[in-house]
Amino acid sequence: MSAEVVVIGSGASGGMAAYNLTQKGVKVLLLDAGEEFDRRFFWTHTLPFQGDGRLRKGDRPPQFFLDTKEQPYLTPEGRPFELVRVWGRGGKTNVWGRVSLRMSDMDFTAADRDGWGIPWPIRYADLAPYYDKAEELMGVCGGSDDSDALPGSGHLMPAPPPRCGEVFLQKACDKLRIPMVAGRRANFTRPHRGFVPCHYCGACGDGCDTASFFNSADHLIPQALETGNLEIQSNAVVARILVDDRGHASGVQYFDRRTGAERQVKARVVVLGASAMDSTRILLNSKSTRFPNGLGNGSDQLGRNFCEQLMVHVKGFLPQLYGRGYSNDDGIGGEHVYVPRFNHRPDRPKPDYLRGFGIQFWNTGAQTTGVDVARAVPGFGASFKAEVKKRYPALVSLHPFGEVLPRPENRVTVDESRTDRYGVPLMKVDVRFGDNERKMRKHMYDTCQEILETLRAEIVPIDRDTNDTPGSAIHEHGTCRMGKDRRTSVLNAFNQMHEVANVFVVDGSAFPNSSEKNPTLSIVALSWRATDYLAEELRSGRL
Amino acid sequence: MSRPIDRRQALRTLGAPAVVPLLAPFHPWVPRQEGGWQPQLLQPSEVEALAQLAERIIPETDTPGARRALVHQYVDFVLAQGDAARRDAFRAGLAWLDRRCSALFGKPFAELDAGRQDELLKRLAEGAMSEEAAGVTFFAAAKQLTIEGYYRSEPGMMEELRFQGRTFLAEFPGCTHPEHRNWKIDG
Repeated sequence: MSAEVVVIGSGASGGMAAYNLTQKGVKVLLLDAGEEFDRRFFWTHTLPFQGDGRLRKGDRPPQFFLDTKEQPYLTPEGRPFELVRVWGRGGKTNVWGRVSLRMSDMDFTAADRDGWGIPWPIRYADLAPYYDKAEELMGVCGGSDDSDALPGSGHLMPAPPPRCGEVFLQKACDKLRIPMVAGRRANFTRPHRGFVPCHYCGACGDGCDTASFFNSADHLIPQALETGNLEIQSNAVVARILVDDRGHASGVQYFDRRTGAERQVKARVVVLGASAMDSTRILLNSKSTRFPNGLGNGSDQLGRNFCEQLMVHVKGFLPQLYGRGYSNDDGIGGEHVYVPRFNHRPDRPKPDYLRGFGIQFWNTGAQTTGVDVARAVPGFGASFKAEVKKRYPALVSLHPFGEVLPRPENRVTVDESRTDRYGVPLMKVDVRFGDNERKMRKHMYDTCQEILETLRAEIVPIDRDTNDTPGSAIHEHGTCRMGKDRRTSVLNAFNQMHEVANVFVVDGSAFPNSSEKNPTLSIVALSWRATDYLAEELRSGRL
Repeated sequence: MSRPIDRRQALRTLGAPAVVPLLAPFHPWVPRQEGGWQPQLLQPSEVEALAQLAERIIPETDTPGARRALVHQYVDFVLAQGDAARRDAFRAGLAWLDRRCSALFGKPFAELDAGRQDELLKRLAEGAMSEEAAGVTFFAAAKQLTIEGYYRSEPGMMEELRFQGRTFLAEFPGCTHPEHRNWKIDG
């Protein structure tokens, strides 16, 4: 078997690569580590107790998440890492959070300004036309705001109105002069490209039965198939990129997930979009005499400089909403408002840490079962039950996301002594947060507390020495970063390997730094831009 | 992706106490049934003590309590699927409860009247007495499981909290209360 371009992975990055290349007439073979998830069998509107009956009948919800028993990863003793993977058509976009934020030149040039890490080899102006196209394709809704931290857009669908709790949060932020804008999410608030709009059930995390939010499986792959230029190989777990005598990629080695059989496919060009961690694992395992420590890794930067976002969670109850009873706060699933980064603003004290954070607010209002509320109420008995019911509509949840600095020692490696079911070395993830994250965390907690105190909210007691386990944001970056200098980066400004011209890496691993923003919109835009370049290189015969 | 995670894992975390806030806040699904139920883990006497304990935590009022919500079935299932340390700790806690009740009142927990049961549980909830430290930890775990079992059940969600979401709306109205639009923080 051979193909002009082999794309590894079918999520946001690989899906976009396949979509764009096939539209341009390039023949693509897409290797997907799993199979299609059938929307007809999603449990989108299944309440927990309804699921009981379905389970008893032998029915199962779709198994989106990769079982670590099937594909383990290693962590050092005492340094846990939460790695969430979806192997199957569309990858994590089946169940993603849908927050779609443009990065700004504050993010692209962060290293130029504070000296930490390396700057991006591109600027906002390079990516802006792709953000426009990506937002239109992905059906992102949002407001008319525009700021240095969060560039505006004329390409958004109308934002949904705020819930009660979010109205209160807006007033508190106004008073504190903390910016709050409409959330930007890839939920369709209007009919979109032949799909019905969001029906406001709030169950996006179970997969959408009407495909009314952007996901690669419904909004990129079918369109690529329609061109006649796409072939898909399901259950293809890629192990290595193969290299010829000249040091060019010659193909891909993969294993059939059902039979374990080894397969090889020849390729003129290989595009990796297998998610940051798996793409990095594949490249590190692609060892040859030419590249003894992983493909295109002469710089020793491959696997290093892991970065992501730090999350903490603060909850409170608004007495103003006590006893009002249930209100349907489902909306488009997540919050309808967003606090963009503000710590750099001239009217703010200069922070004692680098970079910044934004704040999200999912599960504000009566969106969940009541478990979250009840956990926060002391006591037991009839009075406890009444206090839970009283607070049920009054929950506000604050979730700051802060930029974790890239550090060379926070890294992914492969362990030759430990292999998976195919005999391929496992990845080892070694990540810890540092002093900058601890200082930022304090500012996050202080800000959340300030907002809730302004509302005279009852604040659920928090342990301010805690944060989510590394990896929990599911926004992994940095391990195969872009840069101008081939000594300090793995990819060039078009996601092409400095050392191996016919290999491109288009997923989140290419980001030199994470910013505080959810990355999928930027991944789609970046993959679109990279594959525009790739198609032109193929057309001109340079590749 | 925040997940409210459970920023995220369907049956993968069955039995684990972790909250996955980013994705799928309703997981895990746990089977419960009215008739013909057999415990997977607990002995009948343990089931009865657990059912009574859960009912003291969330009693029947104008809506059903934990027993009618079959919280004991939820707890048995979750413990049976979960790790051994958690399982053993919970059963040791039930045994402690009976020992303590026998020492204080001459009878195991399940044979006491509700007033006596509440007398002990009140101290455990407040964490007051050092010789009852084991019970304090156990009560916190039992309360946690009772909450998960009850507020995910049909009586807990639909009768007590009157949940009406996960439905189809043509438009999402947002907050429609004029008093919230005009509400002033200083007012």
